[in-house]
Amino acid sequence: MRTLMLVVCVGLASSAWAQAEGKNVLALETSWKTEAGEAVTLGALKGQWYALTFVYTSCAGTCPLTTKKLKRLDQSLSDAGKPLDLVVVSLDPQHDSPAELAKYRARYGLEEAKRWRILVGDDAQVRTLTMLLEFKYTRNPESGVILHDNTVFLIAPGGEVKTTMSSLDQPMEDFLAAVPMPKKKAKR
Amino acid sequence: MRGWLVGLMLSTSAFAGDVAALPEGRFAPLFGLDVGQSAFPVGAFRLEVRPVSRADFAAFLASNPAWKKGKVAGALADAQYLARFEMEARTAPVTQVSYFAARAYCTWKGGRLPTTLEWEYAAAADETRRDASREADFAQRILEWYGQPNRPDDLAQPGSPSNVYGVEALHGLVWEWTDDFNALFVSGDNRQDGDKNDKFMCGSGSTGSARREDYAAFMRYAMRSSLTPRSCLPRLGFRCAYAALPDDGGVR
Repeated sequence: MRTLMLVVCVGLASSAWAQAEGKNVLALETSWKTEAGEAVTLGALKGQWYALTFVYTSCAGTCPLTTKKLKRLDQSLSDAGKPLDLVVVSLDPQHDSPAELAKYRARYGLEEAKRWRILVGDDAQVRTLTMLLEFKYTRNPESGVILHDNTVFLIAPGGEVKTTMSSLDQPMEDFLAAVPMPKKKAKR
Repeated sequence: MRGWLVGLMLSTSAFAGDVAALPEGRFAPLFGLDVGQSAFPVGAFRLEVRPVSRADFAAFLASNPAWKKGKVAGALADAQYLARFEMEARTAPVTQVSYFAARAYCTWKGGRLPTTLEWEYAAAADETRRDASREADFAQRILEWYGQPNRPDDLAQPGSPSNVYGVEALHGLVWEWTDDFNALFVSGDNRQDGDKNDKFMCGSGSTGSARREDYAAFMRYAMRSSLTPRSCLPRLGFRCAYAALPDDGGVR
C-alpha cells in the first residue's frame, strides 16, 4: 500500500513538473505599481531569477505562514551565497494601499528588506498573472475572505517557471537547490 | 402566474439587441458559501445573448493577428487551439479557444468573461423563473441537453430556449469559459490536507454543496475544474459580459 502511495505521489509530482514547464509570467504583459506608486511590469525583471508568490495583507489564514517561510527562504539563500529577489503580489488590490503595505512590512520586520518587492495591480491584472501560473484564488463576495493556493514560484530569466514549492508544509531544499549561483562579474 | 408575469416583464424590458441586461440579485452557487451564508450578492451586469460565433472570432483574428492559429505561444493555448476553426460553419459557436484567447476577445470587445457566479446566476433561470435551479423539471431538462450525444452546433438552433433575462443557449450547446473557472479548491484524497477545501471529498462533494439535487451544476463545476487556462476543447466556447448601464438598475 505504501508503495502504491509512493507511486501515486511521484506521479503527481512529475505531473506538476510537466505542467510547470508551459507556464511563463511574460506570456502576457501585466502592469503593477510598486509600494512607492511607480508603474512597473514584470518584463522589467526579465533576465533575472526571482521568487514570486501571492498574499494579501489582511489575511489571517495562511499568508503569515507564507511570509515567514519567505523570510526563511530569503535568509537561506543569502547564507548560500545566492540572494534572490522576492516578488510578493497582492491578491487584494482594493485594500492593500501603500499604508497597508507599510504596516505589513513592519509586522514582519521587513522595513529594510530591499530584495522584497511588493506589487499591487487591479483585479484583472491579478487574474491574468494567477492564470498564467495556474494559481487559484477566490474571494468570498460578502466576507471578503480570499481562499487561495499557497505556492511559491521560482521564475527563470525568460519568465518561465523553474520550480515551485508550497509555502506551508513542503521543505524548501529542492527550491533552494534549483536557484543557480550568481554569475561572477567579469574582471576588468 | 406571478412568476410568469415577472418573467414576461424581465424578458421584454431587459433584452437589448445581442446583449441582455441582468439585474442585481442574490444567488446561492453550488459551492463557495461559508457556514451561515445563504446566498451571494450579484451586481447588475450585461451578458451576450449567445455564445461567440466563429464569424465573430474571425473578426477578432483579423484585427488581432497575434491570436491566429500557429502564432500563439504554448503558454497561452495548447496544440488544439482553433484546430478545426476553418472546417466548421461560421454560425457555429467558436470552440477550441483557450481561456487566454477568450479573455482577449472579450477585452477587445470592451467586455470581460463573466465570473462563475454571474454565469451560474444567469444559467439558473428558465423561461419564466429567475432561479429554477432547485426545480426538478428544469434540472431534468438540462441533464437531457447534456446527455445528447450529438448536440446541435449551430447558434440558429441553440437547443435551449431564451431564458427570463433573454439569454440563450447557456445549456444545450457548448460549455463556456468563466473568468475564474479554476477557483475551486479540490482536495486530494488526503484527509490531512488542512489548507484545502474538503467539500469535494468523497460524499462531502454532494452533502457540502448548496443544493445536492442539482447534478447538472456538479457536472459544470467538475468540467471547469478539469481545465487549465490553455485547454482548447471541441465543445468549449464562451460569451462575454459587460458592465451594466445606468438604465439597467430599474429592473428587479
